[in-house]
Amino acid sequence: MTKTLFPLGALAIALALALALGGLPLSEILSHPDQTMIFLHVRLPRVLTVAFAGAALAIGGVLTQGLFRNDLAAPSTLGVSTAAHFAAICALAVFGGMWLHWLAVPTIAVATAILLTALLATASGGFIRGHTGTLLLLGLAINALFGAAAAFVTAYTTTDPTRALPLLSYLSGQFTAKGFEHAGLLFIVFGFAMVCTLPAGKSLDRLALGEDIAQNLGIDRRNLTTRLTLIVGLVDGAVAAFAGMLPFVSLIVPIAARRLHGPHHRTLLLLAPVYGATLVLLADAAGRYLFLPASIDVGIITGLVGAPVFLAILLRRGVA
Amino acid sequence: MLLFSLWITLLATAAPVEDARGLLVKLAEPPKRIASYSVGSDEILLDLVGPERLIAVTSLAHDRRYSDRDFSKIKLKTDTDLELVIAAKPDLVVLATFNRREVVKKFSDFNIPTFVMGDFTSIAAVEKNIVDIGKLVHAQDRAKALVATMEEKIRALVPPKQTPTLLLVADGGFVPGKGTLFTAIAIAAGCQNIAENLVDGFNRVDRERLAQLKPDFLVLPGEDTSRPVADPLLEKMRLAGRAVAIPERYLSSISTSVADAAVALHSQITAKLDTQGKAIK
Repeated sequence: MTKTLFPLGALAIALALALALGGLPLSEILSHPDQTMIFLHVRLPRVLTVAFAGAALAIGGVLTQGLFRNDLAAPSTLGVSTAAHFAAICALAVFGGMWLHWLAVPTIAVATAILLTALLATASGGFIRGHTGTLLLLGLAINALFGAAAAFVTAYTTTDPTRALPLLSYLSGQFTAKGFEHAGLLFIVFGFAMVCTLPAGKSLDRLALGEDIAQNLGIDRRNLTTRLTLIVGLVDGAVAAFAGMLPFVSLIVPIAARRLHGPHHRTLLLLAPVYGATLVLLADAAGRYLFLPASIDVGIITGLVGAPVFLAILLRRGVA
Repeated sequence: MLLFSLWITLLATAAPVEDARGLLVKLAEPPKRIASYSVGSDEILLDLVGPERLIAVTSLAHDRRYSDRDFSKIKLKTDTDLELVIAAKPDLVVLATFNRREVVKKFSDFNIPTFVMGDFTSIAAVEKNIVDIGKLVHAQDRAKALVATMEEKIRALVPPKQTPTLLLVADGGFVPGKGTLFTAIAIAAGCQNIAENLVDGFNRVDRERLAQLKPDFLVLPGEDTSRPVADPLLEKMRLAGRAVAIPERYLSSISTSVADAAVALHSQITAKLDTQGKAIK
C-alpha cells in the first residue's frame, strides 16, 4: 500500500510544484480573476501536456523493455525517438507552410516510429537474438544516422526562410504556450495506450520467462509484437511530434519502477506513467526555475539526468 | 463640408494592415501597451512610439551587442514568461514569423490583437514593415519620416568607382548569399556580396570554395578587426588588412539600423580603397 502511495504522492508534489511555480505568484492568481484565467489557459494546459508526455513515454519504455526482454531497450536508446523526431522535422520541412502540417507532422512521426520499432522487433527475434550489446550498438547507429539526417535537413531547410520558419519554431522550446488541444491529444494517446496494453501485462510477464516458455503458455508472439509495436510507435511518435525530444525518460522510468515495484508488467504499466509524469514535470520545473532568467528545455534536463543514469546501469551490468 | 469631414474621419481611422499570416489587422484606437517579440520590432516600435507605449521587449533588445537603443525603461521581457506578458494586458503584440505559432495563438485566445511580421530579406521589405507597423500603431507620419531618413542615408552613399566584392562569414561558418539582408546592405553600400551567386539564403560553404572566391574585403561581425579569426584562410585576409568590422547589431537588425549598416559598411570600405577605387593591398 505504501509502495503504491509513494508514486502518487510524488506525482501530487510534482504537480503542485509545476502548478504553483510560474511567472505569476499563486497569491495573485487566487485574488485576481484575470490572472486566474491566465493560470487556467496558459499554465494548466502546459503542465497537463508535460505530464501526459512523460506518462506516454513511460508506457513506451515499459512495452519496449518487455517486448525486447531487455531493460536497456527503450525508444530513446534504440533510436526510435530520434527517428520520429527526424520524421517530424522532414514533415515540417515539406508541409510547414501548409495547414496540412497539423495532421502530417504527427502522422509521419508516428508511422516512422512504428516502422522502426517493427524492424527492430523483427531483428531482435532474428539475427541479434539474445545479444544485448549488438542491440545497443544497433540503437547507437540508428541514433547517429537519424541525428545526422535531422541536422542535415535542418541545415538544408534553414537556407529557405519560408520553409525554415515553421521548423525553427518547432525546434525552439518544447512546451511553451502549449494549449488544451495538445494536452487533450496526448491524453487520448496515453489513454488509448493504457487501455490497449494493460491486458497485455500478463503476456509480457510470460514473455519475460523466455520465448519458448511463453509459446508453451499460449502466447502468440507475432500478435503481441504487432500490437505492442503499434502502441510504442504511437506514443513515441506523438510525443516527438507535439513535444520534441525527451531523451532517456522511456529508459530510466521503467527501470526505476521495476526496482521499486517488481517485474510484473501490469503493475509497471500502471505505475511507470505516474513516475514518467513526475520526472518530466520536475524536469520542466527545474528547467524553468533553476537557471532564471534563462529557461532550459525539458529535453536538455532529461538528457543531463538520463545519460549518467544510463551509463551507471551499463557499468553495473558490465556491458561497458 | 460633409464630404470633407468624412474624409478627415477616414484619415483618422487607421486602415487595416495585412500581416504575414494574410490577416487584416486593424486597431480602432492607438495601442498604448505594446509587446514585441523580435529585436527588429523592438527597435521599430521604439522609434515609432517611444518607450512610453511599449510594455515588453525581447532580452536581446537590452543587449548592447544586438541593439544600441535605450530600452532601460521597459522592464518586462517577452521571452522569459508568457504568463507575465499576458498579465501585463498588452493591447497589441508584434511578433515575427519565426516566433512559435502556439504563442501567437495564445494571445488570440485572450483576444489580444497580434501582428506577425513576415519578409525581412531586403531593405524594401524592412521599410514596408516599418510603414505597416506605423499604420497599425497610428504613427503613419513618423513611419514615413523614418523610411525617408533611411532612404536619404542610403542615397547619400557615393558608390566606389569599381564595385568591391565582400564576403561575410558569420559564426559557425555560415555565409549569407542570395536573398539575404546582407546582400541588400552590400548593394546599398555600393558593394557586391561575392557569395550571392554561390548560395541561397544562409548556408555553410566549403572552405575550398571560399578560397576560390577571392573577395576584395572580408566582413567580420564585431566592433573592430583586431580579434583573430579561427579559419586560417580568413585570418590571412584579416592580417593583410582586407577586413572590415560591422557591429553585430547592424548585421542582425531588421529595423532602420539596416541603413546604418550600409553607411558603416560604405565608410569602412571606401577608407580602404585607393583613388582608382581598387582595394589597397
